[in-house]
Amino acid sequence: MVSPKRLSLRHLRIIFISLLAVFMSVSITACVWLYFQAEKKCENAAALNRAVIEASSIADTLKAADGSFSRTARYMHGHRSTVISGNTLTLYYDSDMHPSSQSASSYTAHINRMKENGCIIFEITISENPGKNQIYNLEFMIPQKKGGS
Amino acid sequence: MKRTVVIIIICAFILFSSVLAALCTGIYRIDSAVGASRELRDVYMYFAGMIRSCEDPSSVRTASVGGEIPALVFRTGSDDNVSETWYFTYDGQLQKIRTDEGAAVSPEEGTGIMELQNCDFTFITNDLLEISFETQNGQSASVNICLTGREGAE
Repeated sequence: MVSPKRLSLRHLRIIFISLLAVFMSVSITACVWLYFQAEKKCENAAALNRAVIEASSIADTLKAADGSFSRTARYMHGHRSTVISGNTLTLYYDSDMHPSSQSASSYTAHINRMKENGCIIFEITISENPGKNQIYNLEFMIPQKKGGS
Repeated sequence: MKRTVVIIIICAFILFSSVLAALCTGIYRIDSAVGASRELRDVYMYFAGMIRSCEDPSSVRTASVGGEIPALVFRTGSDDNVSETWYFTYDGQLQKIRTDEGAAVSPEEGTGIMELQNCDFTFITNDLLEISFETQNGQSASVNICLTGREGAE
């Protein structure tokens, strides 16, 4: 016959090991989850950084080009694949925010142009392909000059 | 039974430590990526801030140090006392030299500002400056900055 004291000690060991296993499983799961969250946030932050720089560059180029989309596309370094459709200019970028073709693009910059009260308002939106997830948006205006296109 | 329990605990500890070590390596990689991204932004903000705070955009021009190293030059001062501030990359750093107008510039005399592998300056039009740069960790970018009101051919 097993003594009650020895039986309860064995049960305690089993309970202890079970709790230890549960704790370690939860800890590992939490660490892995936090790691992937951190990696995702890092990628988003890097993309936002590049988007802000690129949007500012586009805005300065639009100012220097007096709002002309054709001249802006020409002045933007390395952009061979641009789409000008009415009051919209589209530029394409790869995963490192370098100019790329439409088919190989990971990011897109849409520039919309509107005229209001003698000014030209530009809205620059940088979004991620596919899904058009917007990363950054910049809006500004310049005085309208005669003869701009 | 006792031996089995000890072995299980040791194996669990080794597994947990291995996972932790792998995650720490990944976190170090993430931190490096964040730093690299910040470097690009810092370089752009430095040049953009400097150019936009310039009182006379016509005083900005491009040049080269020793005929080889691209440089951006800011001219300051009145007719009697004109000085120039040169910005260029040398020895893996963005360097700055302040000198009298027309004086010879030597890359070794520069003061280091920040780490930067190389940098090139080109005026696309009279008032649009293109800056192409590459950071120490290999990231590159090309940005345009408008110098509104700049006059004179480049």
